[in-house]
Amino acid sequence: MSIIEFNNIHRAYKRGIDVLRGVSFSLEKGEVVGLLGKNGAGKTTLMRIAMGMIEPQKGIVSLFGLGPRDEPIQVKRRVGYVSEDQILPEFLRVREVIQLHRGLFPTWDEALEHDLCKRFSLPLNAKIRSLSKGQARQVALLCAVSHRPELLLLDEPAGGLDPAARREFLETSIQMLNETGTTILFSSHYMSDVERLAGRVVMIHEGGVLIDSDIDLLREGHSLVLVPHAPKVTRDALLSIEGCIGVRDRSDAMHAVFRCQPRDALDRVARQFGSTGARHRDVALEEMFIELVGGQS
Amino acid sequence: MRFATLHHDPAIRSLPRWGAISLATMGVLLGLRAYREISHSPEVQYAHLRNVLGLALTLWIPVSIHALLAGITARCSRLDMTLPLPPRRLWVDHLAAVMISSSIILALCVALLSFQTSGFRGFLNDDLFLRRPTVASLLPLLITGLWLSSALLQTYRPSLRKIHFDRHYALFAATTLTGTFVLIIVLSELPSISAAIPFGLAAWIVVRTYRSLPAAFRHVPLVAATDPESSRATGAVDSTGSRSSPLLRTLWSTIWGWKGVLFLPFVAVFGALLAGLSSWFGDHTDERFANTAICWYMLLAIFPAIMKKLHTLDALPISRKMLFVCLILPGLLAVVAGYGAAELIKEFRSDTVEHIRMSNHNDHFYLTVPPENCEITGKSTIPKNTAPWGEAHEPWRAGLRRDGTIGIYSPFSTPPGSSIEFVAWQISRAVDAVYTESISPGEIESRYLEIDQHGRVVPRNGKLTILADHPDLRVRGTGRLFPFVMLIAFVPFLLLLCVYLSAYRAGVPRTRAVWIAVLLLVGTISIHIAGFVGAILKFYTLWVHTAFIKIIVRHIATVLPGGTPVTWVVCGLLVLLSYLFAQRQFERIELPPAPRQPAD
Repeated sequence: MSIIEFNNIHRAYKRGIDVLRGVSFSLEKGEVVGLLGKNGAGKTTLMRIAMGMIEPQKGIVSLFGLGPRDEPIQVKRRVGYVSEDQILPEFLRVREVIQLHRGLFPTWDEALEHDLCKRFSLPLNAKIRSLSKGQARQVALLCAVSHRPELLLLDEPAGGLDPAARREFLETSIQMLNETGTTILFSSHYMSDVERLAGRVVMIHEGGVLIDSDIDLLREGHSLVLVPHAPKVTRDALLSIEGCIGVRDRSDAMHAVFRCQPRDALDRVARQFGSTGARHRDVALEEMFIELVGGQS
Repeated sequence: MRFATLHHDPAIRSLPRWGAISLATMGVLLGLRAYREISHSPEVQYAHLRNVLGLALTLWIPVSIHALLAGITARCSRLDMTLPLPPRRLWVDHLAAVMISSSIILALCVALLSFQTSGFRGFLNDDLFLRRPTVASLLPLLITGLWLSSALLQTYRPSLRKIHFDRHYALFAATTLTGTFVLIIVLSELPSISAAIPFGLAAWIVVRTYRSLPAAFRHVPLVAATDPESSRATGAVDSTGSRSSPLLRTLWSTIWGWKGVLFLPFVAVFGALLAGLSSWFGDHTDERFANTAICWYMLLAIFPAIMKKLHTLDALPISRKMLFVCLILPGLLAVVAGYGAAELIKEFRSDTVEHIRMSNHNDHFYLTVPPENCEITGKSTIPKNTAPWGEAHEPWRAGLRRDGTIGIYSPFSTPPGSSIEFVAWQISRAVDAVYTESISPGEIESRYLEIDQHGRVVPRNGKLTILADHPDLRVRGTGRLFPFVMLIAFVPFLLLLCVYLSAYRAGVPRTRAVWIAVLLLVGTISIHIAGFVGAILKFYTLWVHTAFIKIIVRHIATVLPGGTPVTWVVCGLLVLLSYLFAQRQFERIELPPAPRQPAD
């Protein structure tokens, strides 16, 4: 049984303007999946659907085989959730926020809580409203992971944190929990974080899943081909080549992303345009993201 | 630039919304005042002071609600703090914005008062009206008092960018507004130049606070940042304490908070009105059901603000059922508490209140009984009240509408021409109907009635003292009205709430929630105001409507097997069903997400 399963999810906020149009993918136990997409692609919507905070207009989502809207308490107790806009009750002290969560989650691990309090050096008697943004985020993260959730949903959790704090958090929460079998779905605009931590990437674009692949296979199975400008080298012509999934017109050349090995991609370009001087370049995840979503838009 | 700073101040930006809210509040207060003037005899004792108090309070309540609840506690926005603007200028701009907005609110209320004065003058009691202090004589005091209270409220932690609405500020604000009101009342007895006193005080406070402002505003009090306890890092959180207290505190503070503490007593007042609180004044007529729509309004009014705050709880494993209890119960309990308090006070006073009285109108003593002991009629002709010996008289009647056939009549009427035996027989029947014991007509005639020198039947010693002489008498059917009042107060509210919650279903544009809230609030307040306007224009009499409903309740309690206890159970079940229905709607909605931009 999948830990989390999205099946043909549709969601619109305004009639006729769908944010998600038939998104389907699932996560197995222990997977760490990076959720990528441009701003407004629907990553937060998908996370909120998983938490049962909003419901899809079409499609089914299940966590641990349960519907998050049907069994919200059972689901939320097994999930850790941190979002970028998550606001802790500002009138409470850090100590009280932790006590609040401890009371709500039966599986709370006090040893882990103490460990994280020490690591983050949290001022336990300070009120949430007097904390810095980074400290408030650390409190939210502590509360999200200290009950050792079976599924951790992180929606831009490290936004606003400095690089050291970000790495500290990612290593403590994601790696530590994943070692104990927690499944993790996290969205981030930091591609280096995704590359370092995720075993798999799901990229959402224009309401659907554009890429769903292991990160290693993604690197091996995708290639960036730079085709010099020429009258016959057009965007449509490139997109018509088998395996070409994105094209961007850049000043130096047309950048085309292919879902195949570099050699195959070059062969296909040569077959289409003849000898054009096309060359292959290794593609980093960030570059692939830019080429794909930039090229599609 | 100065204009731009003023223009984007929350005090100015919220003016349209709070102008409407203040006008609605003022409309309700004016309706109550006008109605009392029309329907009740003027009280001459302390008339001047009562009128000054009444007028000042009518105008002060809307501006106080605005000052307390309008959310004008941000002295500047986060953006302003990043601009090269000195705090002194930001503070002065905000104070000016608050003073301007409060003055506009006061001006709107005065305009509505003037409109009412001119529009309903022909209907109002001229004697009382002429004695009433004119608004013009009170206005300078009210304006300068308003500026004084605005200046005082801005002295609270002046170094902060935004005042946090905690219990300290709630107490400070409530004390400031009450104290200023008392000052206005005291100064109203002095010559009009006394308005310079609050103005001078306000000016002194402004200058003093202005000088004490820091070089830069702070987001949080300095004491919190330097508190050695708060900055202490430790690896252990006490796990022996209560687990539920942070949860309850979070739920309470998130949903209600200190604004709720200030708001719920207002709701309780309407609960007391539903218990017939207003019948203690004037001529003891009970018009409780005229306040039903305003009760729905009060219970609904807080919801739009609460819904915006629930996103902080959405991700936590807190059931919607529990959230709904926290949302609904305080308001309902406030109504019940207000009702209960009013009933307790009534019970305390009940020994001194005779339910069966003889009242002198136009030189004739009429027998009056509690209106719920009258009967309902839908016909233009009513059978006469006929005594066993054949004496018969037309019963007194009143229509639900002016000249309408549906209405109530008294089976215990004693119109002019009634014999002393007939009056005694009627009083004896009334005692049977009102109390749980009987008193024979003979005893009543010999003990309570006599014929005066004009040949009229009059009570001995000027009044009936049946209850005072028979302390063992108990009123019939006590307690049967409460469940019914709760039924008509809560069930429509819960159903209206369902309509509002439907705007939060998946796929419904968020703007619809705003429109539905406005429609519901305007609708309920319109029903309330229309009720009083109709009464002022004499289309109907409010206490007759209340009596009509009370008679229906009496009959229902009589017809239902089991009587009053079963009425309680049936009404309780209907309220519970409505609650569960509303809860189901709440479980299906999507809570609004966190706002993208802070409101300030």
